[in-house]
Amino acid sequence: MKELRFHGRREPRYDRVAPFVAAPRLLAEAALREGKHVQFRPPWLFLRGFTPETALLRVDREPIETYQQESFLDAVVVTDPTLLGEVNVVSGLKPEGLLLVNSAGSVALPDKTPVITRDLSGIAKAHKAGLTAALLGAVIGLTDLVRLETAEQLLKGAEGRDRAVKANLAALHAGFESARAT
Amino acid sequence: MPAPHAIATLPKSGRFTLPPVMRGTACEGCGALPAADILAETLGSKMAVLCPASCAATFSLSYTGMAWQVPFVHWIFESAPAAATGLRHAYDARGLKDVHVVCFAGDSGTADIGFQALSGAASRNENILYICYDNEVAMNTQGQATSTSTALARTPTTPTGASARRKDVPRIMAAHGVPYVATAAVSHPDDYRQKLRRAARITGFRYIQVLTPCPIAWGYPHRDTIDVTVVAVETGLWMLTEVDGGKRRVTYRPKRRRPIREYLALQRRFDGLRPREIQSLQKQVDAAWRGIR
Amino acid sequence: MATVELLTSNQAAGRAVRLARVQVIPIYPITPQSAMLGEIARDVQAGRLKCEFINMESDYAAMAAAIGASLGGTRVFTATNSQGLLFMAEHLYTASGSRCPIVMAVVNRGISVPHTRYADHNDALGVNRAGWIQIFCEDAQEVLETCLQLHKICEDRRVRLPGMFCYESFIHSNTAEGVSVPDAEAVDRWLGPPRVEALLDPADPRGLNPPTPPEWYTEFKYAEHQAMARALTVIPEVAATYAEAFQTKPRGLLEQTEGLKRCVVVTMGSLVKAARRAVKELQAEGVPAGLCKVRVYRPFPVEALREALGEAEVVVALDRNCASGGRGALYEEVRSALYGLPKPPRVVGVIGGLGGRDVTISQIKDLVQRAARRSSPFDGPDGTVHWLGLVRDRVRDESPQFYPAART
Repeated sequence: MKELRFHGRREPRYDRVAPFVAAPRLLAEAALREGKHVQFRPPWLFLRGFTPETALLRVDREPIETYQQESFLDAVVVTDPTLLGEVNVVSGLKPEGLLLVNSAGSVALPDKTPVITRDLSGIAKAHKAGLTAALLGAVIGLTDLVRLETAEQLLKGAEGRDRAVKANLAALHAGFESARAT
Repeated sequence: MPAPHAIATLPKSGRFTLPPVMRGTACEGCGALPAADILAETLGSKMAVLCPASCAATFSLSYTGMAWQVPFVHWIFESAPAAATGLRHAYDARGLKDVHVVCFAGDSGTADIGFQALSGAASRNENILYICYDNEVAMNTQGQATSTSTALARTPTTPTGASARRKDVPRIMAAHGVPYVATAAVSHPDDYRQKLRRAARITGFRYIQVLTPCPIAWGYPHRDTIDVTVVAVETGLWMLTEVDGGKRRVTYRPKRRRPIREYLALQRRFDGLRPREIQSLQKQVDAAWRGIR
Repeated sequence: MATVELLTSNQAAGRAVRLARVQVIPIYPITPQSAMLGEIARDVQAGRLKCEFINMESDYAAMAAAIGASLGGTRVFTATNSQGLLFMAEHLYTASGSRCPIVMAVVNRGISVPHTRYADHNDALGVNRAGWIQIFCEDAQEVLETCLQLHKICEDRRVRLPGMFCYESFIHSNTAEGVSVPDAEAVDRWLGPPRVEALLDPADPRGLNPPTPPEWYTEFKYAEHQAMARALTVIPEVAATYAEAFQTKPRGLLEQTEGLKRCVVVTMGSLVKAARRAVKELQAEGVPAGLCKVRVYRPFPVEALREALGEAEVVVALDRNCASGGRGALYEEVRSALYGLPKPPRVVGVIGGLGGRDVTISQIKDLVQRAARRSSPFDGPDGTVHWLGLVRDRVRDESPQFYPAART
């Protein structure tokens, strides 16, 4: 079973879903399409916007056999680097787990955990797309949790103008490439 | 004073017949009996009646007979309008749009424990007809005061008189903006029948509060129920009114209002009232009639 | 064709309501069932579900309306939990006594005080004498299937009782899983139109709920009790027809793991998943452990439980509930059911997961091993119950509160 936790800040509007929630939800849907089992836990209850929150994603080829909170994470993804000072993002991260931070510059954790930084916001902006698509691509590139083609199909089938869908697909690929690049 | 009516309160319409075994649970001179009878007579067979815990619920039904000839349920005290809501929607879902859903409730089930459900159904403007038969006490449990008890009335739980102002439920219902609100009395059956017929033609939440004296709670000879009700109306203490589509009118105006002490003197529940208290009640009645032409 | 969708248990319940073609839905919102209501309301607005959706003014009003609608001859659904469930406790008895086949989702949530929005089973178990069928679901798939099956079970002539299906606040309600959603037409064929007798029918007037003298009361309660007993047969029967119609695994009163079981964990709800994994790992390590999932809590499956646990040496009743002055509900039911067996297993009680506290696979493994070895905390006199993961430093002998001034 693979476990990932996504950290971000709540959107201040009820009708907007933050990328740190939208991306793992798309990963969950992609995994289902590939016949895998998933458990996706978005943030809960109404809280003020900008509150730090997490979303948990579990993916397995076999049925997932627990609902416990305690996690042994294969990856942690942080969409907002300002969270690093506020929240212990590495709690539960396996020794060999990956930490991906969306940041243009480099970041360092006090306990010297290796951090992978990619400017996913920059990539999204360059392709005139939302952060979600770039984030999705990057996570797939880093973890191979699902196939890139499955994510493509999902984005293609999403509602929205053709231009937006194309932009998202481009950002997806760019995020993927940037994660694969060493 | 009109001649006493001996058993005038026993139902006459043929659509509401106390089963023999229930005659013991409905008291002689019960004011609620004609209220139920006239309702049954006017609305006929196309209705279902929900009666929350109250005297009427107790005398309406036994295992060997029931007073009503329509579907009837002895319901939980506080939620008759809520259950009526569900029933109304079920009938609508099944296409039974011409069947009236009627609540026949006492004053506690309306103004106190039932108030939440009443306000809820009224605010949703549910298509139900709500009749509150008001004897100003919780008589099913032997007569404790309710919020509709007349100020100054002695009851087992208010031995020196209910001190709070009476809750004006018809006004509260009108404030909910429902299409029809009326007050009636069993002494004026034609007025009551007319109001029922008017209400039956309206869609939405309709509320009628009927004054139905209780000889035991109020302390008068059981055969005088209709007469006591007449005096309540003739003193102006109980107004017969109608709020139809938001427009309020008085449907019966006594030619000359009798003094309130004549009403109070008829009932042992007002024994020992001091002149000042009687005066204050008279002033309240006078104030209510000021400006009504 | 069934489709696999990413659904939370709230959404799965909402989907089942749509598939069941429920006719009247009176509700009052309460966390976290409130998320389900928006889905159902959208279904109604979009025409995916044709029903009377009524926003009632309180929880007991929702149940009163549900009973009114059921007496009017329609298929009814509502949902609540915790404070709301207890607020409608009186009306739960009205529903069962009136023999209304209402189906209700209960999103188990702990009861104030202390205030919580997280899960434990105290709410549903607090009304376990109200004459409702009670089924505890393990995951979103079971939620969808159980909701559908309950309509058929409750409307069965042999039953005619209301039923609640339970799943957990946050753990289930806020977790999305892959749920296989059956095809709507296939559900129509399997479930059929509502078989709800209109007890308040203008074409056939009846008077309901007369004042009942002592000479009559008992037999009505007996008849209810018999209907509950018949439900023990109807529930697996309906599950079998569902499994056949939709090519799934049939769900019984209980579910057990395979293999030799000397030490068995008995539990309900989400903990079943972790317990199943725990015993699997223990079996791999050579410990003869097993799981007995209690799915149907009312009617309690005494015979099935005796058969399932008769050969075990020790049973760990893992209760996600508690009662001051009493013991866990499963602990008491299991001990009572096993009493009188020639060689009954030793039953130990564990209370855990209250107010949403996490219970992990490793904690359950540890419990089983300790119970099997009779080591602490299971080395005491019979009848003691262990509180899992108690943090002694946080035990405060007072009403939960914040006090600004420092205590001297």
